[in-house]
Amino acid sequence: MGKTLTLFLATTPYSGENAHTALRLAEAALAKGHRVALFASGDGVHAFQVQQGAQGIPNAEAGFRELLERGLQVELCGTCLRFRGLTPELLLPGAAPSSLQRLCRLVEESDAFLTLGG
Amino acid sequence: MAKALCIVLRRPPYGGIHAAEAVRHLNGGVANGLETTLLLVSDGVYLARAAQAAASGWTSLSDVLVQVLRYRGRLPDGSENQAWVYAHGPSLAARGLGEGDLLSGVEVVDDDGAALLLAGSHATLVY
Repeated sequence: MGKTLTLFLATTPYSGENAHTALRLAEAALAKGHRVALFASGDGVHAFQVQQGAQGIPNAEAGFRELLERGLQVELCGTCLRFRGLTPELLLPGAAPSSLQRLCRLVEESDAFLTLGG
Repeated sequence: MAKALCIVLRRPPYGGIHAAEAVRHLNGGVANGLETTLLLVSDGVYLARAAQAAASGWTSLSDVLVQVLRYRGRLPDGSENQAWVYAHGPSLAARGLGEGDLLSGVEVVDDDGAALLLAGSHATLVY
């Protein structure tokens, strides 16, 4: 039976490799039939902005857009979005504004919980 | 049985957002029925220093931490829940700090104590 993996992403997509690591882990876990949730907090919410023009390095928008279509559950800290002026039209479809309360529920529901932070 | 969340803070307050985020998640965990612990290691121990007087426009994180230490929430079984804050002893000593420099309610743990906290947690957030 598949397990539930939650990834907690808290860094910007291009300041290091955390976003790419999250993409690869999520892709691998989804391929094995596990349920995968990603909660983006702090500057991690920037990975889910639309119109990212990264070239020559993995494009976070393209990667997460594909995984959303394959069943990745993405939640974005609502407070962090407001701090950064990220309104819904600026975000990838399917990446849902969320809350600390929902994060705590994910902690409870997960078999494994991994932080990818700065 | 409530799930346990351990938040590890390695960075000092005010130089970045990490300490504020750690405190915010500590508060959120307690308020939402998780047994929540904040473990301060390395420069994170500075968060527990008493009487921080933040500049205008900035929130004093020591004041916020005092409020969080006083907060009482509920676990899923209805019993009372509170935030637990621990400062890593060797990190304090390396920075010339002692228990007397810390906010009331912050406990000092050694390496073994820190390892036990982490091993006993269902999930870990690292800042």
